Amino acid sequence: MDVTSLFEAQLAVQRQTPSYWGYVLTGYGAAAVAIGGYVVHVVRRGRRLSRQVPTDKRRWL
Amino acid sequence: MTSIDTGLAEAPSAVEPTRDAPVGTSSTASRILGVVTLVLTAVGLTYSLVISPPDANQSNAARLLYIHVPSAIIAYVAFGVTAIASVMVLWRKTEVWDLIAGASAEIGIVFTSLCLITGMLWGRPIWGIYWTWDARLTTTALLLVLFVGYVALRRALAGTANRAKWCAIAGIIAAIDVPIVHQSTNWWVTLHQGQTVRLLGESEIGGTMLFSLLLMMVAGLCGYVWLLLIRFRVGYLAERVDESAFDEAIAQRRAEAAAQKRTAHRTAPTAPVAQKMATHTASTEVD
Repeated sequence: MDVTSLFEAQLAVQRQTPSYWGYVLTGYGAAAVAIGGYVVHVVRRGRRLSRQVPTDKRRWL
Repeated sequence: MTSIDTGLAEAPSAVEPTRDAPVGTSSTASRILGVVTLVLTAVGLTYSLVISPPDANQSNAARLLYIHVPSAIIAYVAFGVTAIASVMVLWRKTEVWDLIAGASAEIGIVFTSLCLITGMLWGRPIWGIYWTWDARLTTTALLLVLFVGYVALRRALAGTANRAKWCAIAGIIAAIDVPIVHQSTNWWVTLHQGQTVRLLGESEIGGTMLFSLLLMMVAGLCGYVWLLLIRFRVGYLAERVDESAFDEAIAQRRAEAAAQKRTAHRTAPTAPVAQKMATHTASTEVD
């Protein structure tokens, strides 16, 4: 088998193999939504609570 | 009920509360860690989605493992921290450890959910099914349920010391499932594959794929530490707000009691006078 036929055979296999990009992008999107949503929730809650607590009790500032 | 030590030395109030004081839970350290996490995540995503080659057997579905495996590792770490903090709560009885335990458990729930979701999305094209009652999957789902229960218990119990004690016991019991999840592929015959990356010995993947996985793990662990810092501070603020609300309620009740006492003092001397007047009226009617 020459090089050209080998290359063509490889291309044919690649065309037959599903890419699964739909699953990949759904997974990465779910990760972004889950982690991003949790971060926004925690930061917002922190801001709301810190308005109710005097600065001298927020020791990390 | 026994009191619980806050675990933090009373700092001198160097800064008076002002309207211009910064609002939020960030500090210089958390901001630096946040920036480092964002940079590592951006580089990690570039490697995971672009630079890393598709797997020979799994094609691009293997890219899901760059989120799935770090999520599982972070969940282990988070629940491990909850267990250690719970032991410290029972030993030292400090508020700080209780807040760390609660914060870490909540973050662990987020990453366990993410691990299950990405695992299901990987399983559909590779195994042909989203879910099976395999030992690894079942014990992981059980871990999620146990820690959701732990967080629910934290919200249900009243009293800081009472909550700290019972939640510490629950946290230790729930964390027993972590080594079971990890060893499930060795103890039972499972569909889930065994350990792919080893700290000691040769890993089953290498090159760019291994680098992408390790990069996402480091980014994820930095993100976990950042989240733990912020979530701990939120918990600390919530405790201070609850305390001030409790103090206000007590002060209000004392003011009400003092007002009632004053009213009683004013009305008390008039009672004999009224009695005397009534007797006088009665005697004049007789006359």
